[in-house]
Amino acid sequence: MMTESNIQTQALNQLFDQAFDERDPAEQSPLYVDLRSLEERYVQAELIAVGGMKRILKVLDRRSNRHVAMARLHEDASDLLFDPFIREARLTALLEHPNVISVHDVGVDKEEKPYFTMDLKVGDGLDVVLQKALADGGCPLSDRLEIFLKVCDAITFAHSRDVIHLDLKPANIQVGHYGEVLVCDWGLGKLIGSTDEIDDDELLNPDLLSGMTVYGKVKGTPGYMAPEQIRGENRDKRTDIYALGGLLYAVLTCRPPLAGDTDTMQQAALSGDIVPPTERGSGVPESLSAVVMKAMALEPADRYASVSDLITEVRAFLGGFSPVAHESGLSTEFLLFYRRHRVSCNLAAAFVVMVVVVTALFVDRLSAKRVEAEALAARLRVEKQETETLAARLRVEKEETEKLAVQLRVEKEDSEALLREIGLMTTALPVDLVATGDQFSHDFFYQLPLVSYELSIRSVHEMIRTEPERADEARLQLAYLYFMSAEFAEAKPYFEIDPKRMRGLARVNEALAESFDPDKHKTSATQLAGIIKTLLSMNRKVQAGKFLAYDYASLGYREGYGLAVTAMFGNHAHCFSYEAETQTLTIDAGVESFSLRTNQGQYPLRFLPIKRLILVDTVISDSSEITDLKMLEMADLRGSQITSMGDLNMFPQLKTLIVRPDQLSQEEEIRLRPQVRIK
Amino acid sequence: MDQQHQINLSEDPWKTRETLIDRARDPSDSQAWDEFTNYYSGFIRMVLIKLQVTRDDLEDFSQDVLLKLWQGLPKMEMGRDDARFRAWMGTVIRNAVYNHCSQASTRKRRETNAAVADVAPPDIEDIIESEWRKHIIALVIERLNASFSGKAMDVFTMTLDGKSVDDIASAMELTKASVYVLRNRVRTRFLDEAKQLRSQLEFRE
Repeated sequence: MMTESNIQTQALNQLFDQAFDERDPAEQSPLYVDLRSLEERYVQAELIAVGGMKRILKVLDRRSNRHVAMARLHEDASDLLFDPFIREARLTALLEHPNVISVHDVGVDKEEKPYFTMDLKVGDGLDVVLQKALADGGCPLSDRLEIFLKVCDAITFAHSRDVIHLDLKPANIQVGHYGEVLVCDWGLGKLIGSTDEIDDDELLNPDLLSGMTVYGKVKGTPGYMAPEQIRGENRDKRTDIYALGGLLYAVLTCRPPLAGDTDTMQQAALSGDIVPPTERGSGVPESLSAVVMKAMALEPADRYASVSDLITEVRAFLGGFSPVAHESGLSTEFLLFYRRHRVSCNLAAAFVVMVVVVTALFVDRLSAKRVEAEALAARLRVEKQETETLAARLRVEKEETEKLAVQLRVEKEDSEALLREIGLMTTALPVDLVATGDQFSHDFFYQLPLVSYELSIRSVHEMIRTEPERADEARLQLAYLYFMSAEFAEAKPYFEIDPKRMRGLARVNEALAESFDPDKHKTSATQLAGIIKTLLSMNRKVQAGKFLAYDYASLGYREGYGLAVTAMFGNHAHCFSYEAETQTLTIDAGVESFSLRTNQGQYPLRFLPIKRLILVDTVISDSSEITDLKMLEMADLRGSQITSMGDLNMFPQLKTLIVRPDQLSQEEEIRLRPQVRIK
Repeated sequence: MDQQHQINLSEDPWKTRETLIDRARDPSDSQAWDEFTNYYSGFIRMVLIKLQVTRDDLEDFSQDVLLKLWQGLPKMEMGRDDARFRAWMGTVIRNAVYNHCSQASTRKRRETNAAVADVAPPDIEDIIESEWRKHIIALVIERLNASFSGKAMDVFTMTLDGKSVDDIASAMELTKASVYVLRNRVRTRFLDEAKQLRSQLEFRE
């Protein structure tokens, strides 16, 4: 620890002392020091290729620390080649394009020899690529055409800089592993322009050329070299286009455009004797073959005017169109169109077929439906007619039925009342009652006035017929009966037989017969009350009772009937008041004491519909007095002496009972409560 | 890191072209005295402690020395040599100590009758030298700590301890290249800061 601390102190003191010292840059920037101290830039030279004029070496550029290709002239090359060599370097350097090889450095080495460096090429030359393609089918045509197009791009660019290559051939095109394409070897290239002409002459210097033949190389390569170039005539951009045509030839067929020895090839080139690519390789598209033939035309004027025209043609093929050079027919155009849009065409065709099929099915279904509909319509028409006939018949029948119904109704009304009483009679009447001929029994008459009347009329007529000696007596009966039934006019002649015997009744009948005609209008309740009062005043209580019973049976309850009914109570009539609207009967007897039944046991109140009964001050002490009030719903018993309701079955509608607090016994209250409300 | 460095420089009170000595000549610049005190008082106290000045006298003494230095600054000759500055500082301090001691001894003699002959030790120059170094180094380290990460400082400290790059790389779980970079960065910065502080505080030209 101690020693460490000392070391640290020493180190810090050293740093303190060094504060004003000059700093050593190597300490911080070893690369900088390294680069600064660099003496020799290119090392590790390694020969990789030998060309006509120069050698290519692989060297390590120590400045950029990478491997580059270095071009040098041959060891024994003439000094006269220095400038062409440097010109090539500068020409290439001028062409900064992704498909043109890049020059990095141009210089003169220690031995006073020029050199230049460029990209170290990777991959193969296009010649090797084409050989491989021919051998094992690698690199399909579309890929080869892409390579060709990149070469075209590079040449287009060079032409735009007024540089022509003049030595285009597969071997001068480098193809990398990732589709990189580099156009190399611009050694024969030249700048189009007057200033360049001298250099050009110099290149054509026979001495120089002979010097180059030392290496067994010809300037340019037959098959790719245009005729004018072979002849040494004017060369221009179209010379490169010829070479590109040759290149496309090679790309298509994987073979050079010309075969044989150099002389034969040169002759063929000069005469334009070129076998079309279609005849040299299988599967060569006719359209592109035409492009090749146009590009390699003997006369420069017949070739494409520019590289971009050539590019357009090849792209047209790749895009599925026919190149202009190829005079294609309509069918070819259609085929190409189909190829270009294979998926779309297939889809469209499928769609069209589908539409046709669906439409056909639809139309078929539609016509079937129409036939069905027509059949249905015809059937409906027939049915409609039938229905109409039927309806007409039904109408007739209905009218007939209605007429019949009216008749029946009339008949029914006529017979109903009679039928009711006959029904009652046959079920309710003791047989002996009729058998004994006691048709005039009061009870019988009260209960069934119509039947009783009918039977009596018949038996009286029977008596007149069978017992003539008692005919007058019988006729008196008739007067009596007709009076009961308010047939005063009918009764009148019979009363006249023996007026004394009928006492005042004959006079009453006579007055009534004159006053009204029962055929024309019914007896009103007021008239009825008058008749009853008259009868009672004559002390004919039985007749009054019967008259009321018959009236009720034949004409029924009507307005003001309360007066007629209460008239039955004679002197006590004023104790009753009947309110027809609420069907309430109030009995206020005061000190008078009477029964609700007549002496004959009749109960006139049964002819009134009574729902509410109010006993104000009566001596009625027994509920049996009101047991005939079947419709009773409410009974106010406070003004009576009733202490028990007796059998509740007698009052099926009874709901409310009003009594004095102590009126009912406790047992009675307990018995009644579950069924009626007691106030 | 460069940016941090920049910021640090801009915050540095010494960055102004006007040096402390220039400002010391201006009697109206009260801030200059404060800064001077700030930078020198600690150092002077340490020197005085080394010179075995008693605690009782320390405050008065250091104030005395500071004042003398302050007053002497404008008269000092500037030079490239830091030794000259330290020599001057030594002289000032020595004189101050002698004066102080003689006053104190007179006083003490009156009180205790004891003689104090040679209060200041002969190696005062060495003491000043060593304390000044410590003082500047401490200031530099303080600044480095403010601008570098702990990791960079650790690498630097380990380098100072004489550890090899390999050892540091394995101990810090860094690549050797990173160790180099960190070490060089801190070292360069150390030198920069030391140079700056010394040129200001040693009153070089």
